[in-house]
Amino acid sequence: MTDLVLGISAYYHDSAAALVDGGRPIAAAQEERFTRRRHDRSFPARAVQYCLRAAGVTLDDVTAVAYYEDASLKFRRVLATYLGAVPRGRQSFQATLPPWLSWKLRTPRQVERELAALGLGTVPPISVRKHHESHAASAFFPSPYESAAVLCIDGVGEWATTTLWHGRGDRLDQLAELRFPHSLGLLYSAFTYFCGFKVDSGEYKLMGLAPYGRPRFADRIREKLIDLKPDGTFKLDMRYFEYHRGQVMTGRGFERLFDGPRRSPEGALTEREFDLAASVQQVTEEVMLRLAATARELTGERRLCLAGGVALNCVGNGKLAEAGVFDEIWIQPAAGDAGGALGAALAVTAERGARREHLATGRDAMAGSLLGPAYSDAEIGAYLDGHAIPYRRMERDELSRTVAEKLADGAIVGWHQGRMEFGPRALGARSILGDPRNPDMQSTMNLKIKFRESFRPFAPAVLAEHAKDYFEINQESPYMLLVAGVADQHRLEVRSGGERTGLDLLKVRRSTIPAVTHVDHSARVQTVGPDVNPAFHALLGAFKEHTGCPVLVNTSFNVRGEPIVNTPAEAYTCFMRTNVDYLVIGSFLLDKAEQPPWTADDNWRTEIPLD
Amino acid sequence: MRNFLLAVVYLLVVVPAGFVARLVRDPLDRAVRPEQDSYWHYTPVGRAAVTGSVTR
Ligand SMILES: [Fe+2]
Repeated sequence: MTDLVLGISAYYHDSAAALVDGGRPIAAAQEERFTRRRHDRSFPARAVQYCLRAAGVTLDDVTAVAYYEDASLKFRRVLATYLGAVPRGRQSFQATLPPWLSWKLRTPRQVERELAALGLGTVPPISVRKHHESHAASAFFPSPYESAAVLCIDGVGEWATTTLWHGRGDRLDQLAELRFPHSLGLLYSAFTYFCGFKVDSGEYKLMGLAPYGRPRFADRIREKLIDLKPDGTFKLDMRYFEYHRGQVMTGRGFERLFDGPRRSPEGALTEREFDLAASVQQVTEEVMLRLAATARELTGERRLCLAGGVALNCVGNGKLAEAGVFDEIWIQPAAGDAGGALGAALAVTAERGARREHLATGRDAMAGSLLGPAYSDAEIGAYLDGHAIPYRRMERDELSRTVAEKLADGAIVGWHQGRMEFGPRALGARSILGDPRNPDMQSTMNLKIKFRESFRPFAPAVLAEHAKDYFEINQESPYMLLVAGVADQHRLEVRSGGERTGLDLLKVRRSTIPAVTHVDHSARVQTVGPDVNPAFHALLGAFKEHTGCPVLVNTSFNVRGEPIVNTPAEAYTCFMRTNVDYLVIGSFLLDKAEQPPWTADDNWRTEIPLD
Repeated sequence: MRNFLLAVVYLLVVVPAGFVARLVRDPLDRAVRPEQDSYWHYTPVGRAAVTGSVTR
C-alpha cells in the first residue's frame, strides 16, 4: 500500500464510497447495493466498510478522505438562487433553508462524525473537492489516454453545470464552465419530470422512449427554451422552468408550450411523450456535439473523456462517436454522482503526485468497473448448503458450455460472478442473460422478469473481437455507454404493413438479434474483452461456438425499482421471485425446476417502490 | 412557528435583497446576450483545480 485515499459522495443522490491506492482505484460501491434502497442518499457507511474490508485496512491506514463537493460554495449558490427567484420561491426557502443551517453547511463535519461512528480507526483529514473537479478527475485520471479533452455535463453541483478541462499526463486543468441555472442535465430532467418519470432516475427511460417519437417539438425547444451558441454554450429561458424557485421542475409556461399538463406518473404514454422525448434528445445531442467540437478546438486533443450524469446518455455518446469529432471517447462508467466519490479521491492522489501507471498497459484503470464485493466459491457453497439449495458445481469450461446451451434453448439465466459493478450498468458480474436471436426475448424479459414497461430495450454484450461484425462501432465500449447501429449484414428488411407508430413499432423484427435491436436499428453495445471478466468472456465464447452468435442479451440482475443484487442470497431471492430459469453463482449452476417451492414472500412486489 | 418566522424573514429580508441584487446584477445571469458569441466563463490560467505533479 502506498497512499490510500477514501472518496465519498453522499446526501444528494446515489451515495458511494471509493478507495484509491496511489492513483489506482481498488474498491468502489454504491450504498444502495448494501442497504437495498434504490439511489440511497444517506451516508455510505456500508460502502465505506466494504472498501476498507476489501483492502484489509482501517481508517488508520487511510491518509485522507476526499469529499466530492463543496457544501459552502453550494450554499452560496442556493442563497443566490433564493435572491434571483424573488418574489417567488418562499416555499422552497422555507423547506430548504433549515436543513442547510442545521447540518448541510457543515457537511465535512458530518462526514467526519459518521466515519468516526463506524469505529474503524482515526478519521484522517477531509479534503473537500469541487463537484465538477470530482467528475473531471473520474473521467481523465483512470482513462487510458496520455492526454485528452475532458467534458463534464450534469444537472448541477455547486455552480458549474458544464465544465471543459484539459488533461495532460498527471495534470488536469479547467478551461471553462457554464453555471446554474443554465444546465443541460436540468433541461433533460425537466422533460423527464414533464413526461411523468422520476427526476434523477427516469432520464434513462426518457432516452429509451425517444426513438418511438418524432422530434416535432425540437424547434420549439430551440426557439423558446434554449439560446444555443455555435460553440455549444447556452442559456435557458428560466421563465419556463420552476427548478430555481420551487420543488418542481416545470410549471404553467411549460404546459402552455407543450400542449397541456404533464403526464401523471403511472398514466398512459401518449404520442406527445414519445415526441417530447425525441425532441429533447435531439436538442441534447446537438448541444453535446457542439460542445465536443469546441473541446477539440480549444485543447487540440484527439481523444475525449466524459463524465457527469449527461454522459450516461449513451445515445448521445454514440452520436458523438459516430460524428468523429474525436478519434476516440472514454466514458467513466460511474458517470453520475456516485462516480464523484472515486473522482474526489483521484483528485487528491493526483495533487500528491500520483503517477498514472496504468498508461503503460494501454488499458484504463477501472478494471472493467468490477470494483465491488466478490464472493468465493467456499462462501457461495456454504450459503447454498446452509439453505439446502440444490445445485451442480462445475469447472469453468463445462459451466460455460452448459449455460450456453441452455441460453440457446431459450432459457433466461441469472449470472452472478466475481466483483460487483461500480456504476449504474450491469456488465456481466450481476446480470440476467438471454438469447438475442429470440424475437420474444425482449417482451418476455421485460414483463416476466423485470416487471416493467415493454418499451424498454435491452443491451447486447458482444465479444470484443466480433463487435465490428455486428455493430457499426469503431472503438471499444466496455461500459455499455455507447449506442451504435446494428451492422447492415444483420439487419432485416422490414415489410411495410401500414404506418406503425409508438409502441406498435416494437412488434417488428429488425435484425438477426431482435431482442437487442431498438426501433431505430440501434443497440447499447457492451464489448467484452478477455481480461477483466474471464468468466463472462468464456460464456460468450461458448455461446458463439454453439450458435455462431457472439452476442448475449445483458440486463441488470434486479427487478423494477430494486437495486442490482449484490450477495448470493439476493441473487437467489431474485431468481426465485422471477421467471429466470437458471442461476449461476460462481462455479454453481442452479436449475429452477429443481428448487424447492418459494414460500418466503408473496407480497414482495408491493414492498419494492416503483422506479 | 418556525415557518412563520421563515416567512417573515423571506418577506422582509430576502425579497427586498433579491430586488436590489437584481438591480445591480442578476444572481442567475438570465439575460440572453445576442451580441456575445459564447456563454463560457473562462477559468483564469493558473487557477486549475487539479494540478497534479508538474514535473513531467
Ligand atoms: Fe454531478
